[in-house]
Amino acid sequence: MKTINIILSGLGGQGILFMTRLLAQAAHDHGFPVMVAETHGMAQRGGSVISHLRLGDIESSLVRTGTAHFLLSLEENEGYRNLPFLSKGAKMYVNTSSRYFPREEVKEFLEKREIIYRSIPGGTIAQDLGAPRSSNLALLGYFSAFDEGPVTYKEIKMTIDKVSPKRFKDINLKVFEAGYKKGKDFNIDISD
Amino acid sequence: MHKLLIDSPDEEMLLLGNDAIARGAIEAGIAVATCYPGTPSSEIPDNFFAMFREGGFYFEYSTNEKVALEVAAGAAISGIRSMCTMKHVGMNVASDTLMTLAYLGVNAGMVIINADDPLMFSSQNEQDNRYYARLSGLPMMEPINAQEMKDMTVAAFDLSEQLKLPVVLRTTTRLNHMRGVVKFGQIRQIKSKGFFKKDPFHYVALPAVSRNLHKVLLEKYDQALELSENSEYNQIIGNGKWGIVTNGVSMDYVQDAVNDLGIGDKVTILRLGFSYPMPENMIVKFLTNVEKVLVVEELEPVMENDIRSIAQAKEIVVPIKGKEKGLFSRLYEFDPGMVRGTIASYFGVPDTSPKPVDVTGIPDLPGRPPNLCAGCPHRAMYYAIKQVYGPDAVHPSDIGCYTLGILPPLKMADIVICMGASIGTSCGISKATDQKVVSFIGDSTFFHAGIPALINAVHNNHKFTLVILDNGTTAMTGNQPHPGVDTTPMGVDTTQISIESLVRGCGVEHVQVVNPMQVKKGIEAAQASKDFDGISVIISKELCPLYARSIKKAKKVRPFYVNQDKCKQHLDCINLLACPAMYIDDGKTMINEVLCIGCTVCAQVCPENAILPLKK
Repeated sequence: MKTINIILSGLGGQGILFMTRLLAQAAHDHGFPVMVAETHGMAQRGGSVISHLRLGDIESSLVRTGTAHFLLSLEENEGYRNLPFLSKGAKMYVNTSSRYFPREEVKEFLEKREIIYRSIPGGTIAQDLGAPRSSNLALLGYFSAFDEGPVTYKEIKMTIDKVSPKRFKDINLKVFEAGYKKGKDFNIDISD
Repeated sequence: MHKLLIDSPDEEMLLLGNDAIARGAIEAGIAVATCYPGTPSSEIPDNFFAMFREGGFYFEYSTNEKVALEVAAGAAISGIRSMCTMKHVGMNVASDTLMTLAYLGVNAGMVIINADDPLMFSSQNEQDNRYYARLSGLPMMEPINAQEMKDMTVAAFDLSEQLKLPVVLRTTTRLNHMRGVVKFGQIRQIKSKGFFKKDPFHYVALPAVSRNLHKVLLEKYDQALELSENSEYNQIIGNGKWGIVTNGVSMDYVQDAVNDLGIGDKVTILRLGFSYPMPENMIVKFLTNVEKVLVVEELEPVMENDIRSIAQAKEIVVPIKGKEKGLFSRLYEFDPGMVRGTIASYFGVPDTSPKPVDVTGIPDLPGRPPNLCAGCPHRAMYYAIKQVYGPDAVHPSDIGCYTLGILPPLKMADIVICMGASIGTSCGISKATDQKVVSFIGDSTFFHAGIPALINAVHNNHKFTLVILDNGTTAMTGNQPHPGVDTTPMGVDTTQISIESLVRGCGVEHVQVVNPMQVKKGIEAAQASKDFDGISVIISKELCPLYARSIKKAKKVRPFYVNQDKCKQHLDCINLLACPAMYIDDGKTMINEVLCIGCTVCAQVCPENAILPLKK
């Protein structure tokens, strides 16, 4: 199969590991060969955090620069920081409530590399649902709404149901749904 | 049931490398597991802690790596299987025991997990612990992926039992924190009771005894060498004329590079998984069939030097390269692109990989180092010390979250070497200079390696202030308990040891215990220590808020806000505390109410009383 490379980024404490685990587990359950490289330890105290997720017949877990198909970033600047990973025509999903996304100075790079970018105010969505720390699930739901990734909305949802700790399961699903809906609305907007 | 205890062979699970090692230990019928936590090894013992009662084996977080190794050794010498896990620098602490334990040997399988950290993601150095195998004479194994981390753990136990020697399983951060598919195997029955058979002329390492034991160790080397020659983890793959030698995670990069470059029929790969003793005959066979050799190994040229010396002894003339300008560096970890590029250039094949991305147009973003969390009690204590001692006092610090106080504006770490060194270096600096010395050490680190140094400070009349930052947990590595923690709520029966009693027991007379969240009290304590001529200790006691939340002991979060009518922009809160929940937006000082945990320290610092609790 063709290898699929995904970069997930953000700041320590935002739930990048959990988001990575959900996507990796969904891909594994789907039948993809899965490899992941995670950041643990010192980097988790608010510093830059990155996960590499690779699907396919490969032996190493690290994504080379210029070869990632998707970038999911829980923080805007961390998204920009990891742009060198993206291949031409790759897709970038960013959690930000900034009206000025993407920043003016990166637009040329995005255009030159034909990168498709989308953003969602995941933090606000999660906070409105009473779970301010769950923007990771909003972003994942949003990502799934475009149906461009290796696994479907339904598959990720099933994984959240399976993997979430009991006391967080309902809220996780709720935030995921809200992110998904936001993405669906966006799709309707552009098809109008 | 804990997922790693499921007794269904052939079950496939997506596991972290460290989970896979823990599962391997379960399959091997582990009876005793010990550790001192440290990134990148911590998730192994954390898994043990989560399942040892259910799993029917014994587990402990030991005070340090040396003690952990001794506990595991005692068990394995008494005839039951044991494992001891540590990060690479922990091996330095344990090495005194390690060197002579190799002489004594064991009676049941004993595996030491040693996690190296190339690139120093969470460490003070990137020493290459493959040298420890050579120094101690103990066999070493190096896995390449999650599945092997499980399988090799089981194999290491069997090997250990066969040789009656502890076996070191060496990983690197990339392997520990890799997630991959692991197929389970059978769980063996645990033999949980042993018997210590007296044999003082074997187990008491007196000179006369050790002279014999060293001979025994060398005989075991020959035996291990034989096993290494025939190990399934040492393989010659392919039959091309270009030789590549590799180990650990580099093997993954080599495999992908060879596939990508389409040179599979041109190369022969020598993969060393049972990497010490090096399989000499296999290496000779490999060397005689290739025209040139590239050694792909992170950090030191360990295999490269060994293979070169085998070639020299056997009079095989073939270029063997690895660590040199234009090829591989002794610095940091490798990445797949660099390995591929170096293989291509060394063997003279076009590197077809995509050109490096032209990054012009991506804004130059400042690095984002880790930071003390919002509401961290270390920040409050740092503030109090700074208020009293000013910017000129010297601050030896230690290994833990509080090392993050190095950054401005706190700047509360001036020298850090290793666990416990804050106190020893304080003795030297205060003796050598007229500068005020206030050093910092965490609670777990104090238990680990601080106590002998504190006794030294008291006994030799050194003059400085030691602040023990007691946040009730081993925070940086993931909130593991330590001897000062009451583990009853975790359902574990241990005896809690008071840091204050220990400090007094070491002979310190000027001891103060303060809650740093009461800023005034912290400042008073700092002043009292400054006024005292001698060694003084401040125990700064407040739970790590992340830990408090995890054990449901956190106070109800009531975030604060800045009343803009009262705020006169002194910016003391921003400039002196550097709390990540505070920011300036459009010239106004603001508090992020999601991050703020209502610790009140900024409110106490504000000269205008402009920081107030949000009304819910």
